[in-house]
Amino acid sequence: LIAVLALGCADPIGAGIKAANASRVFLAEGSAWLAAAHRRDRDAAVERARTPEEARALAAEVHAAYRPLWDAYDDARAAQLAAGAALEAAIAAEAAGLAPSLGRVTAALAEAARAYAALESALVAFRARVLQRASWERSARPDPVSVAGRPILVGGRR
Amino acid sequence: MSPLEVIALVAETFGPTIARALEETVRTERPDLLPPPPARLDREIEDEDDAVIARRFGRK
Repeated sequence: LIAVLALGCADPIGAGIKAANASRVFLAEGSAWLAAAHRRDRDAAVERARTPEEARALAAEVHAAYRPLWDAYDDARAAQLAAGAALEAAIAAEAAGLAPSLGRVTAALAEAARAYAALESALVAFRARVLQRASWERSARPDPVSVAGRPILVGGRR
Repeated sequence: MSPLEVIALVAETFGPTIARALEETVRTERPDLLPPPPARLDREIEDEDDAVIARRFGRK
């Protein structure tokens, strides 16, 4: 997406700003999504607990599961800040009548794209783990459909 | 695929908010750099544990 947006513009600094902006919009949305999912899972864990001690232990498990995602988010954000600094330096050089360092801008944007891709991979791996765990939990429970021998509605599934 | 076609695809996939922000940034000749994304929020979420647990078990 970033490459396509950059190709649509002849001005390399302008293209860099657009690429960085697109990335910043996605990261801001990603942060909001991640925070909502993290809070929802923590609240659900606390709700399941029977004692405050169990609630604390379950909440700690949720936090541990989300930590790698926040680490990846933090890396992507840091790379995005570095890309922003390279762009601002290029803009300042251009305004001063100097040749902007487009190599630095390109390298910083490439690093930001790499960090963003790593965040996406972490999110995909996390989702796969969640789905796998849900599948294990389903298979560990006796299925009332087969136990009863007649169709019963279970969690929206017949 | 043109940038605007990409935006249409983004709107379909991610929703109108992201698509509008992208459209604005593509249409402007040289936009300003948007503010950086927010810092990580996991510590803040962890700090809420005591209050969430107190609400669930009804004590302060």
